[in-house]
Amino acid sequence: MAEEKNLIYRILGEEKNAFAELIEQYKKLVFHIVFRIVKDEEEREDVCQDVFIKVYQGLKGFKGDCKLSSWVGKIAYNTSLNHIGKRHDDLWEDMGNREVFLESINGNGHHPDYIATQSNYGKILRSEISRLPEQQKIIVSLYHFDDLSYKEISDITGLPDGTVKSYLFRARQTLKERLEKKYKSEEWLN
Amino acid sequence: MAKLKHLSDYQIQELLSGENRLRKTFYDDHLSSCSSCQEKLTEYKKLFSKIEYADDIKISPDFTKNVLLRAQALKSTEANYPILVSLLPFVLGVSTLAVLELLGVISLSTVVQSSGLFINNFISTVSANLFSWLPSLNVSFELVVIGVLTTSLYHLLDLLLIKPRFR
Repeated sequence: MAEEKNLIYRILGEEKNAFAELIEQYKKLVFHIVFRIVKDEEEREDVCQDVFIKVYQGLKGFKGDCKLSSWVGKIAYNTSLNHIGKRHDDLWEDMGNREVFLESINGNGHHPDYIATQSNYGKILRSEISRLPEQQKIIVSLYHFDDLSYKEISDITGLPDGTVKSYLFRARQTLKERLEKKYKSEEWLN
Repeated sequence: MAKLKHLSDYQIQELLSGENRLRKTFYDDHLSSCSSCQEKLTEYKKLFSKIEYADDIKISPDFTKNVLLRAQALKSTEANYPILVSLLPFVLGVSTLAVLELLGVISLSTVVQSSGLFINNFISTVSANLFSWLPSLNVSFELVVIGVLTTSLYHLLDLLLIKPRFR
């Protein structure tokens, strides 16, 4: 916390490189959130830039009532939603629809040729993560790629801690089931 | 003691995430004697480790530089912004009057003359009232003038110099 405050003071005092330090520290987090919500590849990086510009403009108003990472993450989350023209609730509704959609295609799997080309399980898992409902995708990213706690993810997404936990558990279960369905257990475990 | 049923996916994930430490002993006891749950635990362990390696985000090397350039541009625009805004009503007013004069709608000399007359009358009325009112309050007129000027100067400086630096 003290380090965060120090960084904020240095940026507000216009110390050279202080803002660059903040960008370096949080760009991975911002990219993870924006990339999971914004589909258009050409627009994603612009949205990430917008997020940091908003952070820069709003830093003076940051009250420190949550971690800086949560605050930056929340800006990234809201900016992404605004960009695709959706409200938080719409994302929830989408999730329901998408689950029905995924349920309908579940079991069909990909064409065997496609599977054959996916020699790397990292790639396969990435593809499966991208098929998860929006909220679950974001939560898996924030928990596993950014090492955020349930509380921090809750601050960013505005979902209760318990919901974050339950969606994360459900996402992992789905991933495991899908991988098992496609490959023999011992195959994907190697 | 009743034998513990097979662990659910939820319980295995809790165990791997290091949560629910109170139940850990029960889970461990069950796992030591249940091959089915051990298998499930191994599968989840693998899944956890594979997820860590599934990070696919690629950030362009110029990203930080590009954001800094945008922030720099924004800062210089904002620094000039209050001056432009302060001048805008004046510029708009003069332009409107000039256009109206060109169109023959008004005569600028008449406007200036009547404005001058209005301002002159306004100042005379205010001064006459102030001079009759202030002595009864026993406040020094110079002190009031100094107060008004200092406050105006402070706001002007705040608007033009201080705010843009910290916005």
